[in-house]
Amino acid sequence: MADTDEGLFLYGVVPADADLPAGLTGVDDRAVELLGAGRVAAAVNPIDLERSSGRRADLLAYHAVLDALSELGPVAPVQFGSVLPDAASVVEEFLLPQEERFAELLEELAGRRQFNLRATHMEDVVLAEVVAGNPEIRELRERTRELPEDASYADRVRLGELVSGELQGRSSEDADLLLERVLPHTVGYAVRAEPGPAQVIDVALLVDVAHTEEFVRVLEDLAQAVHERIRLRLVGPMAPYDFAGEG
Amino acid sequence: MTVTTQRRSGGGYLERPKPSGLADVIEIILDKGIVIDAYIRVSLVGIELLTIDARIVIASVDTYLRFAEATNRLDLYEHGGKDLGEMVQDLQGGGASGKAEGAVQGVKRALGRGHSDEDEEEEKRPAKKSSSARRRAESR
Repeated sequence: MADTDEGLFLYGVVPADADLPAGLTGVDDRAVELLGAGRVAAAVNPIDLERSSGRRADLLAYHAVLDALSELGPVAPVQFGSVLPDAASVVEEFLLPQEERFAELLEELAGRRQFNLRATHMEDVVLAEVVAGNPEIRELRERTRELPEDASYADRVRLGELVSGELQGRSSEDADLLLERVLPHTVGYAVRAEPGPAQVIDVALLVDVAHTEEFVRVLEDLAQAVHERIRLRLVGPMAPYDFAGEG
Repeated sequence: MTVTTQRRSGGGYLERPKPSGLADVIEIILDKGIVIDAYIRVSLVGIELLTIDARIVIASVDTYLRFAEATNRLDLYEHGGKDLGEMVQDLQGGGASGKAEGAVQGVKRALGRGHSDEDEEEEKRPAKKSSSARRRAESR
């Protein structure tokens, strides 16, 4: 491992006493190991620094390792592509200087996992509302649909701009309504993308594992209640990628 | 890929896809996680570039034209007139019934495109979109 042509690829930080899933391998099918420093440890595997990058496989391996770790206990993911020269630098330059902060973070993450929730409008339904509710849009629509695209370019841009603005407004309103319903069942959330014309919600939610069933049930009921206008898409549980903090 | 068992949701309205393809994974992990200072990190050729070319900036005019097109394509029909607040309140009561189908999925897919080696799965189909600008250039 002290080979000069090799570095260490980092996946995440775990408690010092964490277990590794048996036979866990990561990038390049190399075995994942833990490097401990005080109360915390880093999950790493050696990587050839001269290798040509197989990006797709690397990403999938990184994701799979963190997924597997998060099933066994808390893990704070390290940003994809982080490589340190050797074990000494992992311990002395990365882990030890931040041991306290990492330990606290892992305590907060214990027993919790992340879900990503995305809500999008049923476009035709909401567009129909927009057209019905705005005379200028209605008029521009009538005018531009009769004309060849060339002749109506400016009008079409204007139409799209107005529609986009209306959609933005509806997204913001609907996002508030949905989040009001969902957030009480979570212990944290991070906005992945603000509401926009094409998207109502894109958030990461931190959920107590013990309350996961109830959380999913709430979302199922909500999805049913709003299905005429909004689609809800829930991905997870997964490692808390959005809750590992900055820097 | 290790994924815990996914129960079939009761009403079936909540979508619960499993992240499996490259596009899903990029979307989940891109720019996330603890950042290690550059001065202690080793650069690995290729790996850092990924976060850059995974981004696609959608020009706003293109977006406007897409909305205009969707609006014009729309077959207007009378809609039940319930707003979201009422729908959410219906949760206490019986809830909505019936099934909405065939809505154009206008979800912006900003990430994970432009990779030649990705495995496209059906749910990642890019939003149905014909580039008006391109068509204009070709047809006139």
